[in-house]
Amino acid sequence: MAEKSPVSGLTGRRAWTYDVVVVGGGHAGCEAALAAARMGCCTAIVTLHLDNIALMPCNPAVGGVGKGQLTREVDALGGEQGRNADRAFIQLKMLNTSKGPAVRALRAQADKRLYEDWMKVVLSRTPNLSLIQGEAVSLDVSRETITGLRLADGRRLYCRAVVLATGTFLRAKVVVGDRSYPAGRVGELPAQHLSGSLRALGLELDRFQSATPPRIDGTTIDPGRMVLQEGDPQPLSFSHWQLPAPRKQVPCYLTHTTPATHEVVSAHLHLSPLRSGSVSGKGPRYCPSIDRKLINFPDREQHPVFVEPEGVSTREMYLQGLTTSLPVFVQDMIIRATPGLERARLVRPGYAVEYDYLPPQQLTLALHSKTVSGLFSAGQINGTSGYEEAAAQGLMAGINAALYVRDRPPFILCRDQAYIGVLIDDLVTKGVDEPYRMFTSRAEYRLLLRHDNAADRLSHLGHGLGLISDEQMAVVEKKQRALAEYAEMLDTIQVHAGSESDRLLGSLGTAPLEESQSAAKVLRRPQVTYADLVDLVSPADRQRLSSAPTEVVEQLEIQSRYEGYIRRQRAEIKRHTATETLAIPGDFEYRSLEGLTYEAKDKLSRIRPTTVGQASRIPGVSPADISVLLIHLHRFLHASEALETDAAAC
Amino acid sequence: MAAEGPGSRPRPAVIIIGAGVSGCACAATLSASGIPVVVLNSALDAVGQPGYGPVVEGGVGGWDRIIETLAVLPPALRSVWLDASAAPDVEAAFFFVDRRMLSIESKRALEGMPGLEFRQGLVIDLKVMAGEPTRRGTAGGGEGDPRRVTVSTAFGETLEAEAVVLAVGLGLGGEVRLGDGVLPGGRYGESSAEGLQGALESLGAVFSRRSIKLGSWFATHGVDCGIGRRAGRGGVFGGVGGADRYRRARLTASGPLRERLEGGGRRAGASAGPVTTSVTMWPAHYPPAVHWSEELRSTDVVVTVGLDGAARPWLSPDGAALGETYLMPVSVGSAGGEEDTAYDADEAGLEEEPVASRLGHEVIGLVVTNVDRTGRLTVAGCPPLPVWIAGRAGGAADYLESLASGVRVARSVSGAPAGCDKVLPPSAVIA
Repeated sequence: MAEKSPVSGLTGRRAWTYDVVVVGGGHAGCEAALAAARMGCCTAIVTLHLDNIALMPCNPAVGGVGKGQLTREVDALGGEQGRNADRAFIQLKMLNTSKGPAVRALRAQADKRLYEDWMKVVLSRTPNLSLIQGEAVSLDVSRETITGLRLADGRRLYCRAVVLATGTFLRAKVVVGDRSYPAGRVGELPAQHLSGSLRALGLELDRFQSATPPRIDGTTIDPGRMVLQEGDPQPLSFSHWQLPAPRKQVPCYLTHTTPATHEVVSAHLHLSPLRSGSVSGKGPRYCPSIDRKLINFPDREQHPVFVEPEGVSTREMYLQGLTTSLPVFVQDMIIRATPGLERARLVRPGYAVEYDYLPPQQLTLALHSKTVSGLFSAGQINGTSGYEEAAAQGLMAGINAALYVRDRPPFILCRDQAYIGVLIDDLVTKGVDEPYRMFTSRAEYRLLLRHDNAADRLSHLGHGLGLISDEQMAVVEKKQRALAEYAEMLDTIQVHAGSESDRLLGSLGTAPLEESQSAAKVLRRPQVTYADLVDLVSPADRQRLSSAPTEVVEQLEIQSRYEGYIRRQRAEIKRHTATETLAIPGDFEYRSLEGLTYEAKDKLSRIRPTTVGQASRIPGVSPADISVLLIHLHRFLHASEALETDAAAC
Repeated sequence: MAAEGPGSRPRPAVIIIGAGVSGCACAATLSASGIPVVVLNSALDAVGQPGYGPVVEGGVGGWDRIIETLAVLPPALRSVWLDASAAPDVEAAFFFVDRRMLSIESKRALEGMPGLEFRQGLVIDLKVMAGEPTRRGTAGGGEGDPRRVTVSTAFGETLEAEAVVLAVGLGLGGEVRLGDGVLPGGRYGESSAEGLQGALESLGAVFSRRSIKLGSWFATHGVDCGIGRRAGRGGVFGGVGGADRYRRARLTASGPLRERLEGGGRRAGASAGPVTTSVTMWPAHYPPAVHWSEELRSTDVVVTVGLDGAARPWLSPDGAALGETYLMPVSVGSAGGEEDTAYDADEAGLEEEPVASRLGHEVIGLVVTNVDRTGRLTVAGCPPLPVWIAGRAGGAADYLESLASGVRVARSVSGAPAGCDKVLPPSAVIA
């Protein structure tokens, strides 16, 4: 019926019905909406501005150590972030190739506008998904259960589940020096009303802050004074299902701050919003501003600064490492005191943003509110930072919202299955006291949660949920069959002892064979690559081995070389339940333990937990610390046993 | 060259506040005249973005007006407009722009122009100071009493110049009425230019209120199965006000627009002159754009045919990457003062109306009325001020007037002859 004051576009219709409504069109919101829609739910995504879908308001990059693993897991479960990064990349690089496989990770520089556009294209072509521009102002809840959502323009969306993915927009203000104004990001209006509705439902809210560095005109830098950072000549992709289209890659540059830079910062620290009190929320410790870095590490003479292009359609460049919300004239001075940037022209001042978040201990492991049925949340609203952390939560919240609508049990990943499991478990069990960022050290089984095996770990689960197609699953299974085939081949093929193999092995810096060995055994030697192995076997075997696909080769190398460690981690998972109750002696000395972080030593010494389980729940003590602690603890207990035995023998 | 201001910060000759349609046209023209310019915008991601829908209409001036206006743009910016445009293959004096493409490519083109700099900043204050005589003297048009202008941003920055151009759309005292809600700002979702209104008032600016009605956007797939198909069948809509009231037309990228501009224009006025255009500057690997140009050849738009027989835009795609279709607001679709009944629910039979991706809304803001023919702020009894108003804030009523006023303000600021008065008659400026 037409009404006097039409609210909709045509006739005055005021209400629509969905299964799932996602609030927010950032990296969490997009994944949540896509997952729910792809699982067959009638889904709407409500965002303040449809021109800013999947905007990258901070660094123009996806992936990196810890984060890249999350993106691969999102991809393995049928999410979009990895594929989208592949579509929009302008540089792809595998990080830490010289280090162990657990910390290897892919990182993509992206063209920001292209990244947004592609995500918008994907969203608008997804069946069951409506895109709605508007401000969500309140949740409709009846008997502690979600029934709908209201928009500021008067429209009502009835639904069974709501996923909040509001990023930094709730009651947000942007801050530079002692100046601030209400904005979710610079130039964009904040969401002023939703927080009140959440508070009225009895949910607790708190304040966090985040910040972004200045952008400069890329034509005003001096590349000659910086280190060129190029992409991989033959880049791998985030996506398990498609290779990135080949394209010309764009270089980044590396420079560093100098004592002169630090002097500028120190001289103006009193103007920092953190000092002047114009920001009250807590900021990230692990992605700190340059001012914070100088406070935390007063002895370091330099900090790295990566100069990264924001895209191919703009000259703007991002200054990773120079995050600051100091006054603009100080930002100018900081930039110009940095080698290669002496003549750089500031285009966008860096700034801080302060916003409401929902402390995540109010959530279940399904990212479902403990008190309001049908209410899910994902991304920065849960106290995290980073596009990858956001996408991972978005995907899980979208999946769980869809399962909730269908009255099916939630989908939860464990800490030994995925970084996603680590992320969510950390959030909901430990809570956050600063924006949470993923590190490989947060995972106790990081040798199992690798970049290369994400699909092996997760795709069957994505397939079960309907997010991975049969064709995609066939790709994974084909690779797994090939892996098994070649692993078996390596067991049966022999490398013969003799002058030829001795010479080859010698040139690789490893000992000659005393007798013939299986190829699998030889590959366990850290110096021997799969390609070397191919040269060591007979011509007939050579032909068989050399046909292995690249990803199979990578996994064969990792599995052989790290077999011992991997086996130990698997055993550790089995032992895990036992360690939870393992007692720690009251006089256990932490300070001398090798491999424990300083923070962990400090907290453990002060708090003196009585069991490993208790120790593991102390904020600041990471799962990696617990692994280290367990090794020392077993050694300690074993040693005291031995001492007792010795004493008895005397 | 920028003159050195206080401290070591270079002082631009001209500051442009706002980087929409008129701001970009003004900046590009100033750069072409060799005048250093800093363009301030509250969000640099929105540079070049047409704020009020994807339809550019020639109005009573028809194609002549479209061609004349595009012809006075600096070539690099004109290429961007042509690349991002498509026209229907019917005799109708309007075209559509890919707002996203226009935005990205305008910014790219302007970034490459000499002496032109972007700066992200929300302007909250503006002051005109009596100044030392400058060595240039161009900014005042050589009319004596040289002054300088300082502009302050919400982040505490102060920039100084010899002249300032306000190209803030309807951002002065702007509000967006959207369904039951009211938002601040000169267009949906953006921070409002608070403070500027007061600053202008104290300079002696006189305002009048203007409003723009925008139509709604719908998901393209929703339109196909909802509104569009009905129009295509000539069904319900076809019956409203005559059988041919709604008609499908095919969009072509190289259609009437480029053809007329490049060929000197079958109907274009002599002032258009020869115009050359570049091939698309879009990156080769930019797939949404490829999709845009490919799909253009098969994309239909729906036009309305008024009682006067003239075609007007009704349903149009809002660019390739956006996946949305724009539906013109009520008053535009009607002809001869007759109220369009197509929006009546009973007539349209649209009980299953799809949800609007962007809701139709009204933008209301202030227009400075005491400006002269060149867009310069003119206060009775005062020497000329180094303050110009371009685009909607200066009274421009549509995109073409905004473009033309940007160019004309730039020419006035740089002291060049205006040369495009025909496009923007003074009566349109002073309400």
